[in-house]
Amino acid sequence: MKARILLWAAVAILSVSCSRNSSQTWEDVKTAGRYMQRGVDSLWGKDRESRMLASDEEFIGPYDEFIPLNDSDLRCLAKNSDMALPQPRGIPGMNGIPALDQFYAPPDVIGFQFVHFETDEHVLREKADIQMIHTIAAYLKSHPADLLLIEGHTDERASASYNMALGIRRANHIRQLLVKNGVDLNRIYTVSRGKEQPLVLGHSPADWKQNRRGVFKIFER
Amino acid sequence: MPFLNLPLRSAMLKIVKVFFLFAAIVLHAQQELEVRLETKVPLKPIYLSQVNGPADIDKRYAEEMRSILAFDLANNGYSSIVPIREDAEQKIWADPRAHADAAFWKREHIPVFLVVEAKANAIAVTLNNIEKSSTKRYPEIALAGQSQIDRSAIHKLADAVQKDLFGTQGIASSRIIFSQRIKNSTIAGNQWVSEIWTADWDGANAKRHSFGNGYCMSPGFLPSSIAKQGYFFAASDRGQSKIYRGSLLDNQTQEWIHLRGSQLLPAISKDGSKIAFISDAAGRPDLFMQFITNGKEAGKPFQLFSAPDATQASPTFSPDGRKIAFVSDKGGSPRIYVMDIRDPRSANRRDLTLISKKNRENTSPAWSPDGSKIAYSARTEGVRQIWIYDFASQEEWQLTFGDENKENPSWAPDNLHLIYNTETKDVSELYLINLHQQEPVKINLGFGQKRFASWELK
Repeated sequence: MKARILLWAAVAILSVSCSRNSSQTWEDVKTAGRYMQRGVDSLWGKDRESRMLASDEEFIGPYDEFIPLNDSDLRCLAKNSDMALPQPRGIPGMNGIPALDQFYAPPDVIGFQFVHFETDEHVLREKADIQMIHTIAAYLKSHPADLLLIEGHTDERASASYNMALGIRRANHIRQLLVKNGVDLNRIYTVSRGKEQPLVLGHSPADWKQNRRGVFKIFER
Repeated sequence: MPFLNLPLRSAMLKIVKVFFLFAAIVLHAQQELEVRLETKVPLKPIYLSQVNGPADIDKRYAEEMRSILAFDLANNGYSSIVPIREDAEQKIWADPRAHADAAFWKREHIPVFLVVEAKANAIAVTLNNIEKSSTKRYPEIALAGQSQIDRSAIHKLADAVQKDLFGTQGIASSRIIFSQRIKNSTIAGNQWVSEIWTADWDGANAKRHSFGNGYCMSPGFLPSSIAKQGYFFAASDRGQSKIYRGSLLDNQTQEWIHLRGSQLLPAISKDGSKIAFISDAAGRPDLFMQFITNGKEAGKPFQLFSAPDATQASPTFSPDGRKIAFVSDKGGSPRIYVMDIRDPRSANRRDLTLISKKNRENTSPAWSPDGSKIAYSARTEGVRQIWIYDFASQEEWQLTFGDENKENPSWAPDNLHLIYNTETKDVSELYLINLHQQEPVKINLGFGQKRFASWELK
């Protein structure tokens, strides 16, 4: 009897799933999985939500320009997979720091290449992209005066506003990886270009893949 | 799985089945929630006469003005324009008793007709309300021959007619601000620029306000408490995106929010006391808020929301300034949450309220001026459409249809009209829609991609 109930449940699942396309179904399953993971995390006391500062006295850390959240994850840099690293203190274009529009694509001889992201993701997954991060980190460590600008780009499919935010997310993820590889965080600037400056103008999956990229520019001193 | 013993296999099968059953419940529940509300409201038919007047007057310019009035009355959400009819024209112009012949208009189901007369360098309009047996002659509008001035006068007339007929404040005399994206022909490669423009609500009188060949996005009008004819926007002219304010009078701009990193997607509260934006000052795209006093930053900005592995975007204030709605993908996909910000120091941010439950990809929320609704863009069967969340019923319903992506809705001051932009491949156009008619009307603004339109505050 139990087996029959389970069989009917499986048929019901398949019929519901087939009424949507496979991509939508997979997205639903991923979303459900993330919610379940967060539920499990909270059971173990790993609540990932943010919490407000109760007073100015609680304000610690490197931020002096804004009132930050009292998130433990903002400070436990080594423990979290998504470190929150404050932007460099210096203002580009002032006090000897070059304006970001003076940064330029590095010469081919340096060997910097674009890195690429999966759809709606900000984490680098390809081995070649991770290797490129190591290459860039090694270059920056051997040229300690040089500065780096990371541009986060997206493909054309999501909305322009969300893509601007996603571009920031991508650029900062690359910055985190470089810092993990020993580069001084105050030498790395990030910007988002969203989907505003596509590399290719086509509308195929291959074109989208090319546009979902991290771009590197340097300023040699 | 021959290498597993029977109890283990059985346990694994049960786990898999429970997982799929859970997924099925989620999907089924999501499909059950699909509700389409029919909110179309009957429109009052209005007959707008052709322009007539002395034979020696060139009526072409007056006809142009009439067409502006016709557009305004046909799209105000309350009235529709009856096509020109020979018998009606005969009644108006040939029969001196036309105005008294209520039987004719009642028989033709035309409760209101407007008569447009051309004079020397002027236009005169008379409102005839058959239902109320009343006639009102509006003051003559002197035509300066300059489109910008004369159009403005006609829009004001349309708002006056709406007020007289329906008792509601029209929006025909309000303006919109938007960004226009074009290819930068002066730079090699795929470089684009985006500049700030304003226009009348029908797309006429378009005027450019930024000239930096930079990249300006998400503009909005400043409340008059901060500056008359002022606006704000995000621009990345010098690399990182920063928030600026400017004046429509002299097109001068200045950096407004001073914070390290990039600042994006600004939104201002109705009273001008707060500005919310997305910033990576702390290393992630987080939600921030800055208090404003006398048009200037007051104290340090607050980091309002952050979450690991999440992207925040597109804040919008409730009209009383006590709440913010914004986009976050903290749960796995971009959805719209509402957060109480009355006291940013003690607010409990765990009390986020999720309002966009029907669709996975939700962006660009906009709170209506009366606080009763939030419009947003949601991916629906593969296409981004405009949806409305109604706080009273706690229901979401789909406003737009069709195969073009639509995003960045912005409410008009009348809480009835919205403007949004389409975005499909290389084309972005602005469209008007109102909750009564729900038929989008394209605003013709010429070349370039028009996006991020925002309505003038009243």
